[in-house]
Amino acid sequence: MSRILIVDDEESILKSLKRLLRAAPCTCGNKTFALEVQAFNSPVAALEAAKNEDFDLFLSDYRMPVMDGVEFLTAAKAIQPDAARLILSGYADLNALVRAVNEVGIDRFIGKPWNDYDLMSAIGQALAHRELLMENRQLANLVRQEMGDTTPEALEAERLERIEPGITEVNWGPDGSVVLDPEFLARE
Amino acid sequence: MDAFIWDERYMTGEGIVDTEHQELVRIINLVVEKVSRETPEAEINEILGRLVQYAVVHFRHEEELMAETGCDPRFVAKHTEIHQEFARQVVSMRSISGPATGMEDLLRFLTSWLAHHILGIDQAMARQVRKIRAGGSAEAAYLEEAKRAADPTTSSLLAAMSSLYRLIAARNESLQQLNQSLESKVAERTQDLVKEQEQLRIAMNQVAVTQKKLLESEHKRSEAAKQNMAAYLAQIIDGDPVPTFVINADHRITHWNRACSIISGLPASEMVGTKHQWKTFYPEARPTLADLIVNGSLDEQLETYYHGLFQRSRTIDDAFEAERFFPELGHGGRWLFFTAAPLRDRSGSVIGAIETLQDVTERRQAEENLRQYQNQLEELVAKRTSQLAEANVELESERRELEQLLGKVEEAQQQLLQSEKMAAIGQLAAGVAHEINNPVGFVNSNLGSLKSYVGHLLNVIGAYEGGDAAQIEAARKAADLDFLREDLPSLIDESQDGLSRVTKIVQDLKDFSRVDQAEHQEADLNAAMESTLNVVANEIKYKAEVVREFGDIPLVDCVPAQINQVFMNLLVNAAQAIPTMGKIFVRSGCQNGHVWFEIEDTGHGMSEEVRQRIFEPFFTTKPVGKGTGLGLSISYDIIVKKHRGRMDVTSKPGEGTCFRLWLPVSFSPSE
Repeated sequence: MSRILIVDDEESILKSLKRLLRAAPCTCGNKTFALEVQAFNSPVAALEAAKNEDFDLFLSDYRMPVMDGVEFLTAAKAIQPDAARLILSGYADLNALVRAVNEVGIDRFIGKPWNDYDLMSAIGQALAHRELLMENRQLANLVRQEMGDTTPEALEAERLERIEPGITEVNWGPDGSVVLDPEFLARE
Repeated sequence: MDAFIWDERYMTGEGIVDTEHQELVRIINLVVEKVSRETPEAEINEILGRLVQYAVVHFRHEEELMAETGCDPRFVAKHTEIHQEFARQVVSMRSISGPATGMEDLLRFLTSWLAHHILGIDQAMARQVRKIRAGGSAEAAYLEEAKRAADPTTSSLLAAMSSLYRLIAARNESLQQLNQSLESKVAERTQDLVKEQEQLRIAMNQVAVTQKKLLESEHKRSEAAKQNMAAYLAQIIDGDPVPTFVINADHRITHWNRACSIISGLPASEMVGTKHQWKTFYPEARPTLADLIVNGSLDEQLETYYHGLFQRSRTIDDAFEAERFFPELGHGGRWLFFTAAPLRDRSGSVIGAIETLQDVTERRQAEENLRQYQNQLEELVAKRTSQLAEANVELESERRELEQLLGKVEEAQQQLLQSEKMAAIGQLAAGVAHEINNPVGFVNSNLGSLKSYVGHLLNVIGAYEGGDAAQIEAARKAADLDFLREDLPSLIDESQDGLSRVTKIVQDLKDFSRVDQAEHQEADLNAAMESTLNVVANEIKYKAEVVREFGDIPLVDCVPAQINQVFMNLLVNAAQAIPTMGKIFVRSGCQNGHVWFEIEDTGHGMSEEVRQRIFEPFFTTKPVGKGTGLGLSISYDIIVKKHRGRMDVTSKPGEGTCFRLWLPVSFSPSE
């Protein structure tokens, strides 16, 4: 089951997308993905959800109040870097596209009005591509482990680091103390 | 012609006396006239009677005057005696006089008697009266008069008078005796009479001589007065600061005053009595203006000697004036302004001429300087004028170049206006595209979903038609019928809503840029603002919440398409001024025949320097390529120039900007 997060300030768009993603099969090559869709009409609420749950793919509108699609995806990437990122927008000028590709590294840009088949294909391809990357990483880790380049501990630390960035690092204070949350201290 | 001419010498100074004397003289003259015209004797006698009566009245007046004044009684007695004697004589002469000769004697007697009486005793009376009135005593006045009588002329006159009276008395007596005696002695008596008449004539001659002496003494006195006058006149002329000389009818100088001596260098002692008046002015003898006036033949000679330089004086008739330069005078010559006027005697004939000379050299020099200065100025003016003309030509060519440039600039401006319009449309198109693409997107997608829903539903229907319970169950499951039942209505509602949104946007776009709104018409501007807000909503809804506070406003005579363009411009600017999320207040109202709209944002505002320049064409604070800098300039043009409205702006950096525009409800282009 692939978890997908959709953000658009237009409720009708969200509903039509949910209908589409619920019914149509999402395939890529010989793979078929079952989709679980979470829709948000506000980027802020969507980010909040992204902090608490894992998603395989983010699909965002570009023009929204408070923050635009590129800003949202940049923030989402910081939280979940492995998720695929797509933009679905009716209009974006060249600057927006450049930012989307260069700053966020989006997988696809889909224009509105969209073709249902194209959209499903794009989602399928993005999910397949992500799966492939994950698989590659896992296999590479296995190889490194067998070659002795890495240890299960290191891999576990890497995994933990992905879940909770910075957890494997220890910050020593000048007096030899251990600073657990430098960010929190700095905020103070 | 009067026989007895009244003369000033007969004046006594006593008003009534003089008047009556004159009346007596008039009556005597009347008698003489009548006699000479051989008027009937009766009429002459009547006039003579009037004369005697009048004389009696007059004598009474004189005697009253003497009594009033209180003259010496001796003098009064004598005077009264003379009057009575006169009356007696006249009466007796009339009674014996025959026609013609007797009348002539009587008249001569009357004339002479009256003349001598007035000159003698009456004048004496008047002198005494004056002295008494002046405060002198009557006796002193009488004595003084008596002394005066001792004067040889007066005494001889009086003697003549008394002899005259005696003669007359004697003649009268003898005539009476003659009448009383017999006619036989007429011839003898006539001879006697002839003798007596001879004696009378001698006496009359004596009277004439006396009269002449009297006149001579009068003449001497007036001569002395005349000399005094001449001396006085000479002083006046001599003291006159204006050089003046006078010539007489012989062209001899009679006066040559001091100022004249100074200006000519010739003293009066050398000049007076000579004919050298020309010496002052000319190297050789020639007539001066005064000489010409004395000569009389002015017009020809003036032309000869003064060549049109002279003119008639404006102040004095017969006088002439001229102005000339005299190189002989002073150092380097002098300019003289000279006036000559004739001197005339009582009968009006010219007896000399007076000429004044005024030194006007300084005035002339000043005039000359002025003229030179004027010439210089004129040259300068001419020079400047030509310079100005050149400059004008240059300016004209520059102006033509400028006009050409202006034409080019106007062309460029038209192009820029077009590009500004295109930019605005482009900007608008982006927002509109987004807003249309959204509903089209989800409606399209919903139709796809509907297609699959319908497929499932048809399967279910097919299964029901087959009647196989297992198949029906399978079909129902595959269709997820419960979900479809719930979702289908909302799918259709949303799709309809999306399509109506598209329809509305298209309608708004049409409203916003309708071709039929490019003319002047009565427009509901609140509605126009609403349609503009709809069009730009997509542009601003991510930046600001729009707060509408519309008031009740009348229809406004305007070009709605242009006003919409201004609204859009102000709304887009307001949205762009807001950094993240803010508010835009849109208000309207009506006041004093004007409708106003206010568009206020909570954006970053602008500085005073920027505020002062916002309506300049090409002024923009946006990055290069983002704005043309023409939006507000065009808005200003539309509101202020095309609609005769007004546009105000207030702004505070950090707080926001408020634009307010005013439009007259009724538009009159002629204003």
